[in-house]
Amino acid sequence: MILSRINLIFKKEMKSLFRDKKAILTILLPVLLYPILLLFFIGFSVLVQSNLDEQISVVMIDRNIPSTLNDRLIKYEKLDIVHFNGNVSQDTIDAKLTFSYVDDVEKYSIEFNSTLESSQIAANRLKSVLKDYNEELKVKKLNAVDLDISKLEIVTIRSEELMGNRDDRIISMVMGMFFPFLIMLYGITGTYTIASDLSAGEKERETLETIFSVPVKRFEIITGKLLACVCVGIISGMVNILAMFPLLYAATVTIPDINIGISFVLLLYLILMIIPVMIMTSTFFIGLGLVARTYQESQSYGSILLILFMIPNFVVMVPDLETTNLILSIPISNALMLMKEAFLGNFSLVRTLGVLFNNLGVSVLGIVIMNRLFKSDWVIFGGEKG
Amino acid sequence: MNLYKIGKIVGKEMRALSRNKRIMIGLFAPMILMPILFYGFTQFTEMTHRESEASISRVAVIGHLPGNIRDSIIAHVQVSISDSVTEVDALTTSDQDLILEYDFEEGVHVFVVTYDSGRPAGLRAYNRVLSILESFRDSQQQSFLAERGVSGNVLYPVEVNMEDVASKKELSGYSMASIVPMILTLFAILSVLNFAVELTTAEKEMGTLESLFSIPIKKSELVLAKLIACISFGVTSMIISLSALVFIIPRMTDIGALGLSLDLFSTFALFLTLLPLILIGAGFSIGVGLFANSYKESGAYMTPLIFAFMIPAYIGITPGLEINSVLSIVPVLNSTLLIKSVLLGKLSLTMYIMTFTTNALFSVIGLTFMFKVFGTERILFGSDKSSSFRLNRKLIQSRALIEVEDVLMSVSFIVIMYIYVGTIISSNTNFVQGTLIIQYMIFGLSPIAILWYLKASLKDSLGIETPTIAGLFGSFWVWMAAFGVVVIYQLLITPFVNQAPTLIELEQQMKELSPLRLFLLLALTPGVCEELLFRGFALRPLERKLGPKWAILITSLAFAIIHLDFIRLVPTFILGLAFGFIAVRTRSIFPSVILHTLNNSVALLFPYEQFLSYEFMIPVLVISLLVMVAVFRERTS
Repeated sequence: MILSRINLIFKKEMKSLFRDKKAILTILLPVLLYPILLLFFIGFSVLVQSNLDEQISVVMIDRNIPSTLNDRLIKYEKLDIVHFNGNVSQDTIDAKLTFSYVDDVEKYSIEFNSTLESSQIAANRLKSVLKDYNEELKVKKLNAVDLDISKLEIVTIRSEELMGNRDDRIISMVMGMFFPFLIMLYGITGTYTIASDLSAGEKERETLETIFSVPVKRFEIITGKLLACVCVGIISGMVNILAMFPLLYAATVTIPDINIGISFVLLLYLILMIIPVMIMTSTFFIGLGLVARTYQESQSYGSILLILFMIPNFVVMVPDLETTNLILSIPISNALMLMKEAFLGNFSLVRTLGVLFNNLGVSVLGIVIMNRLFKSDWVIFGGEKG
Repeated sequence: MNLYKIGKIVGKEMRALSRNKRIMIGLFAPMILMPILFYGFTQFTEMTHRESEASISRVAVIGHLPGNIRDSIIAHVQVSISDSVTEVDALTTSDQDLILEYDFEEGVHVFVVTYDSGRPAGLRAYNRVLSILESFRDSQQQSFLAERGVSGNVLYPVEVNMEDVASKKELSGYSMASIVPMILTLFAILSVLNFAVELTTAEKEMGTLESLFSIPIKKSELVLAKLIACISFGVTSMIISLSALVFIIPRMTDIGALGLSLDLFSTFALFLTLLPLILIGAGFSIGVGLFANSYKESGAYMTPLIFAFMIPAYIGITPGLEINSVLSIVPVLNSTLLIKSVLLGKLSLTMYIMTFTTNALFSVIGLTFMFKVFGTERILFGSDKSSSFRLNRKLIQSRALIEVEDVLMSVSFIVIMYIYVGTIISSNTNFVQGTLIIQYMIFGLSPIAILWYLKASLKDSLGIETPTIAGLFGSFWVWMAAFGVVVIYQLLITPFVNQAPTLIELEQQMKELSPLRLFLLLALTPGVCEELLFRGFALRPLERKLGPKWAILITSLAFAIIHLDFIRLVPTFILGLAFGFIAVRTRSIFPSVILHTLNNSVALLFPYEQFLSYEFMIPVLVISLLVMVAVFRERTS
């Protein structure tokens, strides 16, 4: 096996892939589409949100509530107060406030429907009014017994964020969830599209014989092809991240407090984690493509495999998921989990090596299978209509 | 129309499709995948949830905690305590979830809780420790009051109880109703994509389309047969996936837990909602599929189509979004929202009819598109091996117009520049500088530079011709009609949408400019630059290759999209159509430049609010249409 020959095959495959301008366009399309779609999407969400914020909540109030609270509620601009009355249809009411006075405590009950956004908003508005009212009453009652409220501050609880500010952490967490997910998803899809062309496509065009006629070992050919496939996977994953750039940039500029540290090290780490996965998916897709007779057939088998590869991707989206040994043993999911951690600034050498080892192990298995298939003339040429 | 012939072709297509492995896999995959995914997802979520609930939070303590707090932390089953940590920084390196620092200063117990809110374990530890600390605070305050003979009630004069009246069905439906409608909508509309590619691109790639045309059958019959085959497979695939949902999943998991209220009636309602979507999907994807010459190429064309279908479906899962009369006229989105309401058992008949009608109309548009494409020989058999993308200037020869591929590439490039460079420019410069740079450098100069590089005639490419007086006169009425439509559209949507916050911000910045500057910056500049790009650079080559209708349509779409404003999408599209029509009919760019400038000036400077009424705008629209038709019909004849 000579590296220069592999390099030769790799270059040939890359050239032929990139000669197809439409293939490049498909890879680059997200750069154009993402920002447009995201901006429209955000525009729409803002619109819906502002509509909800502006909405007036209709709340039904017990007639007997204390007048100070009643005044507070009436003063609140976004509340439309209706008193308990048989004539009002229940459908138009967003929330209901009932009142009773037991043992010197004013007891309120807010009835709402958590499946209706408008009802939730109404309930939250009532709750905030009641909270202020509670404070007012507390101060009054303490004053009545000649006690200053500050006297009660005998215990203070302060919570501090380990790394800077809390919103920052949450944003890093969300980004750590979505960005690796997108890179992986599009990377895998990238290898899927290219692999069929490199294997079944070549079989269909009957150009494999030509390649076999040159003095290059089969393993070198298939390695060259594999490298090309992995490269395209990484490129398509990265292009998708590039496409997120305007949004990120706009976010960091408009919200100055957010300090998203997408460092060079993080980028390298992401690539490092992606490579074994790309090798893994490429080998399986190429292997399948070698078994298939036509480009079309390879794509249909591949689509099932694609869905299988998608599942570990989605697993990481499960809320509250933590880096356990179980997750670290599932290929693809494990890489995503570590990338998520990396976004939070945690790099664990042991885990990284473990995951790399794990995924590379599966890749080696894939390479062996792929190589076996490629070496077998029966698979490569025998499948034709004999 | 010969029904017998159509039937024959449908039969042939159906047989071909059912022999195709790829199609069969796609058809039956949901049967296996849907239950696995549903079951797997719920199981996995439950498992991780149980695991995290049961997990132990490791708390490191710095300082000497009051004995009772220490005891309650130790008593808490899911919290373990350690004293090994001496510094807060140690949290990153040690295996602790949270650090609790304690100090007693001037009679006050001070607790500082440090944790990482970016991790679930940190948040969980925080919540657990917080509840212990809060009950400690309460007991301290109570005993403080008791010492002074005051009742503890003064601390809590108000007690609030939140009572959720949502039924169990509503609650569980709510949790699932966000994602299931999206999946169903996307599945219905995207499942036909595969079939469409098989029926069109495959036939083109194998060169069998020509043989089909050689038999005595009309093109319309052929395409109808293909459509019927595509839809039948789409419906079959939908029935399969729906039955997977209705029959298999309830047997595998507790349907109540999934929250789907699926009785026979709602299943039928779902089916009827999804049917027009299949039609829309089939119409557009057969149309688009015909553009591609090979499988590989079809991928390039289908991706934007998939995106176009996916985005409205994704918008549908925005929390709090419910179907109303405005949203019911947005295709795809309306179905997602309607399905949501079906699943929540809140189906409204009016919304149902509105959605159905809208989607039926859109499927007609999709089908018209398909028939149009099928009728265009150039698209069907165009070799498409043109020598475009040639970038070495020495090899390029002088010509009147550039190629369509060059236009599409350049416009994409300009849009990308606008978005990427534009974001950087607008955040580093002020509003005036930003607008000027974007308009002149990106919209104005880049097309001219591209034309120069590709050696195309500026005069022909941009349409630099003196228009006739009659042409100018007619153009004015075209714009007036478009303006009328736009105003009426705005009147229609005003009750439903607030002004977007971005626009309010823009208005604020505009107030600081004098009327002359406003005119120069926001009326004349876009009038010149945007028209150069869309009605000059982009329109002319498209017009030559695809005909005026497609040229106007494509440029208007691009024009609408580049404004990157959701609410103004429709108005800018309508104005784009009008300016495109003007440019085509007058063969000159000047009328559209003048009218674009006029349009923006009116919007910016003219106090037209008082004319914003149906009583005023409808007659204006009618008169403009009449004059426009009279002028341009005269000119045509």
